[in-house]
Amino acid sequence: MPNVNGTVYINGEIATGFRDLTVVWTNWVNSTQTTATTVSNFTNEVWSTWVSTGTTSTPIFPGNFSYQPVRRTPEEQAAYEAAEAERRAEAERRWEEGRAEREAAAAAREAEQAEANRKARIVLEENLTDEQRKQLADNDWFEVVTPKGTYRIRRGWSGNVDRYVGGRATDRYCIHPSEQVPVDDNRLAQKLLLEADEEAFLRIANRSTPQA
Amino acid sequence: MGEMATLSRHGDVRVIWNPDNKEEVAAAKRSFDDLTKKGHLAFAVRKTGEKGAQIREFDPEAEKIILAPPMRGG
Repeated sequence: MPNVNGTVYINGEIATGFRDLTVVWTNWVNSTQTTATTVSNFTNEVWSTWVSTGTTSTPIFPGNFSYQPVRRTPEEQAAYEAAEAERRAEAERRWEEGRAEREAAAAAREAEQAEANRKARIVLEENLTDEQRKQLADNDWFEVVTPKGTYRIRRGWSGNVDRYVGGRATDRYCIHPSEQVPVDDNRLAQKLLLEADEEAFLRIANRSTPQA
Repeated sequence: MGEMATLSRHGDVRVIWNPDNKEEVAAAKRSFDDLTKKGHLAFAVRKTGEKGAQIREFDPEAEKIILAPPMRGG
């Protein structure tokens, strides 16, 4: 409850100012004198206190709320149901009107993505050796050979690079661009970094063990 | 002709320049510098697909340059 100095007690503890936004209250004060009645209230209750000159104020509580069902005459109920049906029909009509627009937007997004994927595949193939290109065509993966082993780059965004030592997959690496690019651009970036700076690749990537 | 491909969500964006044309070289260099400052990795690659090299300065004589967004562990 507030006092004339503006201190607020919430759940029995002093709070600075009115931090609890669930406590809403209004205190009108007279220019000559104010009085606030000490009351206990829960922070989720709304109450107002009117004060007048020289008298003790009494807070007005809304009391406990209870649900009261709406009572309608048969005619009123029929009118209500008719209005509801009309409202639902209008909402459905507006939804249908927007359907064509939504489907066109989705189709445009799909076409844009397909074009990006097509371009990325071209760039990837342009930057593979003949052997890597054949591996890609046959298996949808290609291999990069480095001093530390052979890395197989499979299709995927993350966890798609396995290192093979002695013909056995010993490590799995998860590394990808920090912004979304087509999956073949991801694979090209992985290849380029692996070839140019294997140490950096291994430092950046998260490593795990492939499942048997 | 020099060629620089930047990998992006829309597929690659290509910049082409004639090494003998100063304006084209300057424009390509500006793109290169803007993206590498943002953390993009630059690789000078050969058209045969063989191992490329990471570069940090624009090379107008490079056969092909590929710029990739910064990489992070997944």
